[in-house]
Amino acid sequence: MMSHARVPQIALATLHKRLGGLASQWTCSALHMDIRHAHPRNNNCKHFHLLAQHQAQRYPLKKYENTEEEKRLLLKSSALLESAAEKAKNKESFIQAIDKYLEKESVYRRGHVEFMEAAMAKMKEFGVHNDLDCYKKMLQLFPEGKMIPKSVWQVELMHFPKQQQTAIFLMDQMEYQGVIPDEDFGCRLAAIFGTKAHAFRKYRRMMYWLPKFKNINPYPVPQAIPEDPLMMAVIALKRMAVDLENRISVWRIGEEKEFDSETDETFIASAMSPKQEELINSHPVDEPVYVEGGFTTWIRNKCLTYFILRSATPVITQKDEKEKDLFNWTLFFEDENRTDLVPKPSVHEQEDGTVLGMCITGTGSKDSLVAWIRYLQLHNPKLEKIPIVFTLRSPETRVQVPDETKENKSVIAGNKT
Amino acid sequence: MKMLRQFISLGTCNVSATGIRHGIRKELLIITHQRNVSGVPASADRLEDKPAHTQHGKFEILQQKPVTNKPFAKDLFLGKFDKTVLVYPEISDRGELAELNQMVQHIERYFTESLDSKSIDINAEISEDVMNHLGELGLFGQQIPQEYGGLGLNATKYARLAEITALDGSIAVTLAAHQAIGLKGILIAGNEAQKQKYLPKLATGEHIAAFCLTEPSSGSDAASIQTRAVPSEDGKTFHLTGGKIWISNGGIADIFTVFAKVNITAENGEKQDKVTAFIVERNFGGVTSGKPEDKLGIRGSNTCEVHFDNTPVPAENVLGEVGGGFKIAMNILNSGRFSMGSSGAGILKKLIGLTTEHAISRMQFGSKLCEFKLIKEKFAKMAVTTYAMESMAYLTAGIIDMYEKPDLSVEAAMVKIFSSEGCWMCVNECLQVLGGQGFMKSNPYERYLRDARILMIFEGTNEILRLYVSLTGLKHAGQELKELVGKLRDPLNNPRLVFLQLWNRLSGKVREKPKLTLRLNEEVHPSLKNQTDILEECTLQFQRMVEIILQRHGNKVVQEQLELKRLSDICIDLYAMTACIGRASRAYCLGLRNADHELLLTKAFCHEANARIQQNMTALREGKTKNNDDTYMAIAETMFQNKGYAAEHPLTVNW
Repeated sequence: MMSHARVPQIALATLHKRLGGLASQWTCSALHMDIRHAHPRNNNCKHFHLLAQHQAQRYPLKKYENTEEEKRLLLKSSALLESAAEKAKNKESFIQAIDKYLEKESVYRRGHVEFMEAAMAKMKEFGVHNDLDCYKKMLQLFPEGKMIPKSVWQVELMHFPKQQQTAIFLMDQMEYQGVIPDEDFGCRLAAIFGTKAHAFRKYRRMMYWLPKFKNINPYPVPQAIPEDPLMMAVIALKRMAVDLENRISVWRIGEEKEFDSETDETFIASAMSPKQEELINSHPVDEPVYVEGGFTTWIRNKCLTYFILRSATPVITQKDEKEKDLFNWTLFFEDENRTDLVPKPSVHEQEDGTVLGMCITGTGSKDSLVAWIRYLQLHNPKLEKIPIVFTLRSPETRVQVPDETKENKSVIAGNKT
Repeated sequence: MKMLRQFISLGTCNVSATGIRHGIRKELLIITHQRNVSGVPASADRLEDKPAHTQHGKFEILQQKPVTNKPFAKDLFLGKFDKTVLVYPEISDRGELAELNQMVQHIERYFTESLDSKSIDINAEISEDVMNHLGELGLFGQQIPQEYGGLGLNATKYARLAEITALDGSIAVTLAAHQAIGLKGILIAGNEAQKQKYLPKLATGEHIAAFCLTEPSSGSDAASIQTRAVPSEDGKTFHLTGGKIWISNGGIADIFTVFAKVNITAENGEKQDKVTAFIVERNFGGVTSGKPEDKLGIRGSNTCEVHFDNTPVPAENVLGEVGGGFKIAMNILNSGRFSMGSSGAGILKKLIGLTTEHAISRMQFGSKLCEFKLIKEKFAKMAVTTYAMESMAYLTAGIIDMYEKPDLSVEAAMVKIFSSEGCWMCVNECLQVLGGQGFMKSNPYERYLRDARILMIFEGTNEILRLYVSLTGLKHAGQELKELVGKLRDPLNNPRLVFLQLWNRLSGKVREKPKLTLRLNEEVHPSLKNQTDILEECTLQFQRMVEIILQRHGNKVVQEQLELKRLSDICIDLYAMTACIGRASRAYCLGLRNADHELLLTKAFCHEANARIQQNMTALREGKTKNNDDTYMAIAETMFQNKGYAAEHPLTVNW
């Protein structure tokens, strides 16, 4: 089902060293056995904590409702965090809030589970939802050494279920936020729940899978996405353009607002490869090309609208000829018109047409697209002769038909008015 | 018939009948091997269309060479082995040979005593004096017929001189660009008027020639050139416009062979752009050359861009036909390659000599370098390689000289591939023996190493030539095996044949070691029997492999470049073995000095070649999944997607 993981083994080995006696029975093969039960299908690893839920289903309990005491504690915790949030909403104040709680509850740790639940919910607000340090800090809320199961039964029967479940939820949240725990996290977790507990198993599974998923995307998105929409557009275009020779050009334009005469600074980011330029050059003048869009593309949690320039000419795909004429090619050193190799159609030439270019503009408006075409015409004079049809679904949904009465070029000019 | 054939070949020696008595055969008293470079047919078969020479009932001295040879290398793809190739060619006319040797001595003295190659390399220029002297030696017109003032050398003699001129890479390239490609067009395709007009001055070196094909967008792919020639309305002149790059002699040449596209109307009425060759003089106007390129090696040779801006070229300067330039370009390139074998051997013989002296005198750890086995092995391997490349070069040259229109482009390409790579490897080893001293500029090794690097690139890169060798061979074989392969590739309609083939393979009827049927050992000295057996076995295996590959890929074999590479490597080794065996047999039969050494060289080479061939055969047999090809392709794909080395740094952490 899966190959043996090298990296986690190393990581776990270091952990093993640090844990010393604690992890003495814990071996790599045990890790693999555990993992064999896991399904790789769901890459969010949701199913791991389902294990606990599954047990709960088998022995149906009444739906758990917080007791009055718990509700009170929850409110208290929230209040603590809210007062911290009033000062500043950042990592520092978040950690301070936790420290404050620990200071207050230095002996009994009353309501630490509730405090954690409240803190987890507020992480996003503090902007620390993808900060590993904060998650580690949260682990400090659990008392160390108290909840380590002493027997197999305790292990299997979910020793300190509420605490373990909370820890599992914490790790779930890390998972959703793309935070990968490290060895230090593991050490702290082991000191709290021991290396046999469900919570620690969850950690081990995370350490197996998450680093693998981290780099699995063949079209990676940079860790930090720039705020600048132009930079974002460039990243999006780079990810979508599969031609290795692809070039991205950026123009800044002033665009008139629809109702007042102020001009807005906006941009056009355009992706085109030399091959596409060549395809434009060889495009017949009497067949229109289409500006189509907007299609959506996602950069992590940001949505962008892009447009394409497409010709509808279908590409004649070569079918395997019957091998009647065997070995009768003219080779490249025999004649100018070789027959041995017929160049493959490029990636741009697809069955439903040929993609000639791609762009993202600041506004996504038709005017900006017209400007895009004008810029393209600077480098591809042929484009001036080819009729261009705008078939935009959004933001303007109406379909535009080329104006046959005017000269070819006027399609754009007509649109401009 | 056999007797008659031998008799014919005896009688047709136009000069002397002194033959080489090697090859102990049943007819011991008959002079079995009669071949000489001055023009004797390889087999009588080709003479049949020319009965005129025998119609008087006696054998006249044959003045005319037979038209063309049986293609040796191409036939190897079919498992046919032309045994006459095992008879190593020689110059039979003692007078001619003595004359050649004298000329060689004369030139060699100049190259070893008076020429300062180091300063040519440093100054990146060949001085006027040197050029003049080269002209006096007649080196600018080696292959130009005597009637036009050249030396009129045949291929063998040309190869012999190339050995000497190669001692200075810059001069060798300047000369080669001048006559092997630059003026070759006029020799091959020029009409009488063009020859009369240009050749005499080119022969003396008064005019220098250059060959203009390469363009920024067109390297190996010659058909894609962009330079255009537009005919004037009266059709009397063409106007040439375009830029050529990396033109050897571009800055010093007076006469250019330029290739440009001309729009012509084809037979079916279609307009087509076709490559056409022109002779362009510098003083036609509109010819400019850039500043000389600074290069890694062959620094003294002049390489630069040449631009043609509306250069008027009279229509009588078209080489061959309008639209026939591509063939001319290919012919020129094909005809020049064979000499690289002897050039390489020339360089290596000199360097090995120098290195041996060093190894004999240098003392380390209390013993001489030459006593260390690691060093001995290096020397032996260098000798083996040099021997093979030299043998191949002179065998090819010899066969070229025997025919009017020899079909030897595949062989020439093989010589070029083998010798350029062998040369690089051996010069490298020589430098290694010298150690630190070899690395220093005070010794010539580093210069030779730099100079040798170009050999694998120019005159057709080795990659392209490998494709050329195997594709030409496969086409030749494929057209003959067309029917069989077609049936085997269509198993549903030909179940019987396919099952039969499968049965033969599975039941062990087709053995790993084929039965030897060619009886090659009868052609050479018996002490080379093991070697001929290897050669024969490999040839038969090769034939079988060609069939398998053709059957496996059909027409798509063109795209299987890795398999094509292996096939051409096998073919190169087969040809090299043939050359070595033939030469060693000749030497041993004649009793040349160190003939037993030659036997050992051949023995070693055949062993090496056999190992390589078997390795290639295994890889071919296994197919791309097992032989790592697929893996390499996948790796390369990722690299291109990542635009470079794609593996993460070993110190990278992931969380």
